[in-house]
Amino acid sequence: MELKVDDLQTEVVDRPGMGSGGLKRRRSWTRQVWRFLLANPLMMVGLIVILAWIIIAILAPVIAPFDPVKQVFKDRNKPPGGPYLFGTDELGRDIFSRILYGAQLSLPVGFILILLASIIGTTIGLVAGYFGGWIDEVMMRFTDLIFAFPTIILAMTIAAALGRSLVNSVIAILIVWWPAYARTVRSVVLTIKSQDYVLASRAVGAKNFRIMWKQIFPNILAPVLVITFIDIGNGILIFSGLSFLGLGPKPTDAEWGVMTAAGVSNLDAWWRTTFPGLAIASVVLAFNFIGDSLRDLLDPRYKTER
Amino acid sequence: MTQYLIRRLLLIPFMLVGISLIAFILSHSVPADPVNAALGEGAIGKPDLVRAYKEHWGLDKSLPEQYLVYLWNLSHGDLGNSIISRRSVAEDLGDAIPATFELATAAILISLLGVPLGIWAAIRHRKFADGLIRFFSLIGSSVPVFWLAYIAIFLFYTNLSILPVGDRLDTGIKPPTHITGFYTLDSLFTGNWSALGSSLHHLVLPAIVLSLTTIGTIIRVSRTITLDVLHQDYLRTARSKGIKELAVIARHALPNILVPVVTVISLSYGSLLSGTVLTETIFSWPGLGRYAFQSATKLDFPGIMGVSIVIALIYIIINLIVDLLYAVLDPRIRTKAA
Repeated sequence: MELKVDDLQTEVVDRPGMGSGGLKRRRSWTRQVWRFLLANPLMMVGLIVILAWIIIAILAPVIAPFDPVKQVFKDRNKPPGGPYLFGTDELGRDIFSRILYGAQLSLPVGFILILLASIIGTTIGLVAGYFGGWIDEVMMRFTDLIFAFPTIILAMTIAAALGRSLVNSVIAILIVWWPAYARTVRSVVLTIKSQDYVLASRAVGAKNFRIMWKQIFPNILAPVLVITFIDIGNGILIFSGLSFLGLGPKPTDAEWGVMTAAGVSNLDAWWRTTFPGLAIASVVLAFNFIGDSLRDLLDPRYKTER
Repeated sequence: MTQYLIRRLLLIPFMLVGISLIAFILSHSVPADPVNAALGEGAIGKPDLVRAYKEHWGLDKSLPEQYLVYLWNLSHGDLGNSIISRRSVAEDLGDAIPATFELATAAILISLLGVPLGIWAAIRHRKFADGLIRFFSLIGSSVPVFWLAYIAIFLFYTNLSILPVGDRLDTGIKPPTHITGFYTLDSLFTGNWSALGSSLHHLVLPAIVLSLTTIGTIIRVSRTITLDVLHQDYLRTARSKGIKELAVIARHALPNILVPVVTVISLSYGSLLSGTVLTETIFSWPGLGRYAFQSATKLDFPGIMGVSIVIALIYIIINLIVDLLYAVLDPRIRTKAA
C-alpha cells in the first residue's frame, strides 16, 4: 500500500511520449490519446485487459456456455476438453463459465472496496489536515493504531470475528485499508491549505465546509483518483486472498479465490486451481501495468524518497 | 542521532499498547465466554480452576480494569494460554518465530537478485532488457501468492516429486539441537548432515514462492533509484573525464544507490515476516503466519494478540536497524549526527 500523491501531482504536460506536440500543430484529443498509448504499450495492454473483463462481466450470461451453478454428476473433475473448455470441478460445474461469472463478483467488489476506502480515507484525511489541532491528533493517532497492527492479521481476525460472508470480508479489508488514504490526503491538504487562494477564500469570509469542498477538494481529487484506480488491483488481490483462506464468500459462490482454494484439495485436477488463479493474476497485472506506466510518466524526475 | 534513537525506543511501548488495545477491543466484541473458550468444557465441573482463571485475568472487574490486568501480565511476559494448543502463547511463539525467520531470511536472500536486475534495467533504460525486467517485476507483485504456491507444489511435488511440501523436516528426522532455531544453521553447527539436507530441501519451495512477492518491489525500487542517480551531474562529470561506463557505475553510482536499496530490502524483510500467512498456511510451515491464521480463524484471542505484538515488535526493530544502517552507509548522515 505504497501511496505517493506527491509524485503524481507533477504536471503531465510536455512529457515526451505524452503526445503534447508543442505549439506547431494542434492535434485532436483522440489522436493524442492514441499516440500516448502507442508510446506506452504496457498501459495499452492493461486497459485492454480490464476493458475485456468488464465486457465479460456484463455479458457473462450471454457468453457462458453453461449455468455456473449447474451440477452434472457424471462429469465431475473432468479435465479441459470437449464441451468444458477449462474442465469441471468436484461437483461437475463448468469452470470456464464460473470464471466468466466470477468477473461479476471480483471486479465490482475490488472497485467498490477501494472506492469506499478512498472516500472514507479522503474525508478523514481532509478533515484532519484542514482543522489540525486535537481533531488531527485524535484521527492520526487512530490511524497509527491500525497501522501498528499487522494488516493481514487484523483483516483476518475481523473477518473471522464477523463470520464468513462476502460483505464481512469487504468490511474487514475496508477497516485496514482506509488509513493509508487518510494519511496521504492529510499530507497533501497540509501543503494546500496555506496556499494563497485558500487564504483569500477565508479572507472573504468563506465557511470551513465551503473552503474544504470548493477550494481544497478539487485540488486533491486528481491525484487521489489516480491512486484509487491503481489500488483496485491490490484490493482484488487481498480480497481473493481472504476468500482463499475461507474468510470471504460462501464456498458455493463463483468467486475466483474460493474456486482456487477448492481446487487445492485435489492436486491432480490442476485445471481447477490454475484457471481461476490466472483470472485473478490477469486482472491485477492489468491494473499494475497501468499503475506502473502512470508512475513512470508522472514522475519524470525519478524522484526518490529521502 | 542518540536523541533520535531514544525517541524511537520510547515509542515502542506506545505501539504495543495500541496493538494490545485493538486486540482487546476485538476480543471483547465477539460474543463468547472467555473462560469457557480458554479452559475448555472440562473446566465446567471445576469451580476452583474457573475462579483462579478469572482472578488471574481480572474477569470479574470492569473492562478498563481487565485491560490493565492484561497489560500488567503482558509486561511480565505472560501472554496467556492459547485456546487451540492449550500451551502458553509465549511458548508457541518461541517455536514459531525461528521458523518464520528462517523462511523469511531464505526468501530475502533469493530476492536480493532483484538489485542487480533493477540496476541492469536502469542502465538499459527503455531498451528490451528494461522492458523484460519491468514486466517480470510486475508479474511478481500481481500474481496471487497462494496460486503461485499451488503451481509450484503441483510441478515440483505432485508431478516431478523432487521437492517436499509440508513442515520443516522429513518425518523421522529429529530436529537438530536448538542453538539459533534455524534448522539449517543448527544442523550445520552440530554436523547433523541428514537434518541439514532435509531442512534445506524443505526450505527451497516455500522460500522461492515467498521471495517472488518481494523481488518485484526490490527490482522496481533499485531501477528507479539507479535511474535517478544516472541522471545526476556528478556522473556526467565522471563520464566526461573519460572513465569507462562500468567504472562510472561501480565507483560513482553504486555507493549512492546502496542506501535506499538497503532500506527497501530491510523493509521488505519486515513485511515478509508478517506476509508469510498465505505461504506458511499452504506449505504447512509451522511459523508465525500459520499461527496467526489458525488463531484468527479459531478466534484464539490470546494467540492473535501475542502474534500481532511479536510481529509489530519485529517490524519496529527492523526499522530501527535500518536507520542505524543509514548512518553506517552514508557518511553525510554520520557527520550530521556527530
